[in-house]
Amino acid sequence: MLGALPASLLMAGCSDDAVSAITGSGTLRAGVRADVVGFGYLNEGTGNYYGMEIDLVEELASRLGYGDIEFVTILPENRKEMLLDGQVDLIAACYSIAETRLENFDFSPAYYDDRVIAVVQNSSLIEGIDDMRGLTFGTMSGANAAPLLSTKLYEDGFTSGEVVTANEDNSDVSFDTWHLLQFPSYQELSDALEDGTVDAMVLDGAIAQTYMDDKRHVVDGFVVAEQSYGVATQKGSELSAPVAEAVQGMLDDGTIDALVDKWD
Amino acid sequence: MRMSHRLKVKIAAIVIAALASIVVMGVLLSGMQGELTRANYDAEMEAEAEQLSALLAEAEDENAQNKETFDAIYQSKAQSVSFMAANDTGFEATDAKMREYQELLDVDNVLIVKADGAVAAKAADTRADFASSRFNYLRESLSTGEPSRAVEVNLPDRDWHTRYYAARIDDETMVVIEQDPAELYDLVESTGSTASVLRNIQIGQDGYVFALSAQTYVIEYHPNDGLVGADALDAGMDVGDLEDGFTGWMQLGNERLYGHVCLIDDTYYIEAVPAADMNASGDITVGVILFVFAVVVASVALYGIFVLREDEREGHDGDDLIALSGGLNVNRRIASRAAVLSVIGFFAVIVISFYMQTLFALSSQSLTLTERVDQVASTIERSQDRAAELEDQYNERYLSKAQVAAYILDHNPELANREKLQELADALQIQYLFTFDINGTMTATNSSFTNFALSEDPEDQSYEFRKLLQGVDSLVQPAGPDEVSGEMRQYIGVTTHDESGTVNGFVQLGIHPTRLETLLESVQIENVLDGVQVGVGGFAFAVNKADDTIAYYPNDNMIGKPVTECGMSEDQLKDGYSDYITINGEQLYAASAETSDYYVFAAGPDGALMAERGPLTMATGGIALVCLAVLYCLTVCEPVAGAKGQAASAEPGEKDEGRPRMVDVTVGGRTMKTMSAASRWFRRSLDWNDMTPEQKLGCVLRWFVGAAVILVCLAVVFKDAIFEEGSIFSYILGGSWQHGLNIFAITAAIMFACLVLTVTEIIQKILMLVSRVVEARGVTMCRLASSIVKYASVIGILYWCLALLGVDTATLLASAGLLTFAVSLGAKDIVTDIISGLFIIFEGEFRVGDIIQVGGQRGTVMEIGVRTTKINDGNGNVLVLRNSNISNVVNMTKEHSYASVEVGIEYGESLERVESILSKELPNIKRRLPAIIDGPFYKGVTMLADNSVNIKIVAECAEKDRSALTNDLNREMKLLFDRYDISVPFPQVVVNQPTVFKKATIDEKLAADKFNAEQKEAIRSMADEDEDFDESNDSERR
Repeated sequence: MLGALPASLLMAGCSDDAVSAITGSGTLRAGVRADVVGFGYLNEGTGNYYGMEIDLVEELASRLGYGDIEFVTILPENRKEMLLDGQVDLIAACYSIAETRLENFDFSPAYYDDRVIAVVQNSSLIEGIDDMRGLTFGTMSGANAAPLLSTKLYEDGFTSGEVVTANEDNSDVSFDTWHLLQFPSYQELSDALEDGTVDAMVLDGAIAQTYMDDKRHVVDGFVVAEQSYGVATQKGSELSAPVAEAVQGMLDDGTIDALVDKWD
Repeated sequence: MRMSHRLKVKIAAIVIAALASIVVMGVLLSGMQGELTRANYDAEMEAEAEQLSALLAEAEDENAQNKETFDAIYQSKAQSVSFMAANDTGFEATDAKMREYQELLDVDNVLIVKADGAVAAKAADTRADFASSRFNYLRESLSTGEPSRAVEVNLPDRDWHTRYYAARIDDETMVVIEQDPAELYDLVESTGSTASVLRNIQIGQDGYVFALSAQTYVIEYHPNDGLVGADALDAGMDVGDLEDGFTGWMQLGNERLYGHVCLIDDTYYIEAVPAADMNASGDITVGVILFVFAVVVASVALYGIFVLREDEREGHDGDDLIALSGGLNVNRRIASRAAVLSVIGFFAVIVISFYMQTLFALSSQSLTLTERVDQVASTIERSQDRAAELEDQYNERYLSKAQVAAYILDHNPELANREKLQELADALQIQYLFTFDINGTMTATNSSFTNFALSEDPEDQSYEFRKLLQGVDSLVQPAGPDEVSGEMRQYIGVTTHDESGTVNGFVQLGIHPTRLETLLESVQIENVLDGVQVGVGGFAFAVNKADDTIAYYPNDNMIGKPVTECGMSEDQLKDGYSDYITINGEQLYAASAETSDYYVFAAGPDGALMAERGPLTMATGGIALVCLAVLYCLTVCEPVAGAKGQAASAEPGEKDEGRPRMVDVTVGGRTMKTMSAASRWFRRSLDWNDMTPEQKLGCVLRWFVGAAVILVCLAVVFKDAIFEEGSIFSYILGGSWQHGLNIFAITAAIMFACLVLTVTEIIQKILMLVSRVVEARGVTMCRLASSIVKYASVIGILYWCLALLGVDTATLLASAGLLTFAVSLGAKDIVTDIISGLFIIFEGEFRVGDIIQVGGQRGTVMEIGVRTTKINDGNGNVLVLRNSNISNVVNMTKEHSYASVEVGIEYGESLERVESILSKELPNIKRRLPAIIDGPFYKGVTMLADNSVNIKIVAECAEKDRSALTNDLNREMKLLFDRYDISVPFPQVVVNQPTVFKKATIDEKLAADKFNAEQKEAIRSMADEDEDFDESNDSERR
């Protein structure tokens, strides 16, 4: 298995004092993405956020009785700190519900089911995962795509899981039958696919939409992982239960379906 | 003069009903108009939406084709390098050779690459890592032997946008060509992009289509470049509106739009019409109709009010009331007139409504078509430029191929044989290759033509290529039908050289320019017009300027036919035509524009607006009818109970008081009041209370008309400020419609007349004001100037309006000369009569009902005709006077007439006594004779006659009462004198006893005879002309 992962999972810990600041304030501070079209997208021309998660947070805030919402752009590399430090009250930012994350955070019921997929260039003539033997995969550092990918390839028998070489920040790792490159942003990952540095990029299906064009395709029959997005709150926070209830309510009355439909 | 409570209530009811009618009409009318406009746009947007996806798909196809064509060019270039490598033309894998090829092929880079991605030779450095799987497409060529598919890398951030093509050299080696596809994407942008499709779609007059991403709501295309890239939600759009098929109002930026949303592939296409556009014309239409309706309603209501007040003032005449069942009375006096007013008003509303609807429908259609056709014309111009550009582009490409062929043959002349030329032709993707020697004789070809030599005849197609043998390096002949086969062919020649570099002949490419042909076709008139949408059911067609034949028509059978055979006329073939045309018996509304080769027409059947104007007018009429009926009933009917009370309260007898300037006249057995002639001439205003209800109504109507005229005048003068560019009314005012008998010309004529009349009125008012402060001569001048202004304006209006209506005014002026000729020949009298008649009417010397005296004839004017005037002389005789003979008119319907009587009294009677009696009795006479307006007055002693002292009594009266009053006054005087024993001298005859006369004796007889004879002799020389021939003399002489 992949031993060390890029993001600093170990930094989780001291966060008990941040909880008290949440209640009573009329403003809900929500951490959202600024670069995922359809989920959380910041239009720089206007400074406004749009997307399914934005609408979701707005609905949530109104159900919880907040008068105002402050959207804060969060990145995969800083989202944990932002939430743990109490810079945001909750995160609705294509944040998948994972075992490791449940240790530090409370998650609402899943509001969107997504898959982690691999995207390749048509001109590479790669049709299936078998064509990828010996080639390079790219992921975004900070996302959990890399561990999921290595697990998946190991489980499929594609690789023995043995690391041949790795640099200090794990951004360039060679395995026996494949190579992993990690990039600081999705745009750089996409550019690497364009210029041929990586042969396939592995990322969330929701995010991949932003970077698809008619010269690329998703590798058929290769799903790295299924994952579900939930609204994350601080572990044990007073907000956790109401948020979970509200999201469940939205699931029950079809609000979520309508939002997904609207932004699909 | 106080109103009774009952009357107040009734008047209030009438006013409320009138206001309510106007409000109801306004709301319903604008509702209907808005609904109609929206429905019209809905239909159009629906139709556009249906076609949009097809248009987008077409554009997509075109993009694919353009890409394919572009790729083919560079694949062919790669393949020609591969051919050179295979055929001993000096190929070697060196950087220098690659640079040579790069220049020859005119590409960005040429490289030799091994199968594993290693670069063996290159013309320039490359950024591509050919080892990566990214370039697997290129490696395909190694196994297939065919040129590879293109690989495109697009990294705008790194300024890296390149397409890669490869062709096989051997199993392990390939040639790779790098090319920046900017040219391709420019083409795509201009012909196949969403923007290029949407740009050509127009909704109605100013409507357009814009596109925004369904995901980010960022505007991807908008005619206003400033909005492209903006966030639609931020600009005011509502996410809820963005549903496929939604039609309704939306907001974008500071513009309110009526739009239809259409979702195609994650993009919302919104067909939008600016709100201002939707409402502006409709508002004016509704406004005009409503104004007319308001005038009609106000007229009926005011008339009712005036009559009721007058009635109350003068006391009810019980005869006027007819009892209806249900306790209602109908006032007969009002009923008939109010009915006439209502009916006229009703028809006025219907006519104006229909007129405005037609105007609105036609002008909006006309505007839409005009804008559309202008757009089409500019598209045609642009596509013709584009065609020229394309031809140049293709010529350049073919020339490049010919140069490659010449390069290859220069390096290996051995290849000039059928097999190798065929191979080369395949590599270059051309049809035929010919090689010629220095004498112009064909040496080799892959075609079936052999034994060919360049023609010596300058007329022949091949002759031109002799230039190549005389020092010209290359020659590109324009594409044209081949002289031998008749097929479309294009020939390109480039000289070949021997080892020493001297020209030893040339190589010629024979191309069947299908690609160019298709491309050129796509810019042909057929293609451009084929896709043109003109509203619902409309289309575009073109007429060849050179021979007036139809160059394009949706129905293929029509193409090539002369337009005149199809029903159009020559004068319709011009720029900016806009009116009905008839084609194949079908009547269409069309607008035209001119391009360098064609007249382009956008034509369509009468739109929904035209179809709807009938029902809309009927609806308007219906509402008007109901409203008028309610008002009519309110005016005419009243409860029975009220009638008596009012009748009792009235005080008859003051009827004519304080109305000195009103004169009763009788026309056709009906008595009515008219202004006295003097009042008319001197424009004295009447006291409101003196007027009859009819006059008050006339006055109010004049105000309304005046207001309307001034409004129209203001609209005309300030048209730029009021109406937006391209709006319907600025279209009418702009005058770009056809002159002729059509609704625009009529409207413009009315508007012009309003303008001129307002100006004339203002000038006349000013002149009148001036005339008040200047002395007599100035007054005369002012009157004259005012008169001149009036006639000039009338003639101006006539002349201008005739011009607008399509009458050739130059001819009209010429025919004025003709008219003079005819007049001099004999029509003089008639013309004089007519002109005199016009002058009588315009000058207002007298009018119908006036009593006038002309050349000793006195009578009431019954009729002023164009040629004659009829006068009733009071004895039942009608005098027909020719207008030209009417001169020295005495208009007796002046302010006052006087009846006068002269009576003589005896010299013995005391004058003082008589005068004191008169002072006592004259007021009594007035009381007895109601015809007397003022007086009678004692005018004094007029004559000390032979037998009597004559005194004169005069009384003021209306002209029509004068003779009767004179008789009455005579009678009164006789009775008065009798009563007071004033003796009137009269001739008295004294009768005496008859005397007996003696007979003459014979002597006396003889003496008398002699005397007579002597006297006759004595006066024989004296003439007797002076003799007075009275009647007795005549009879005696006979």
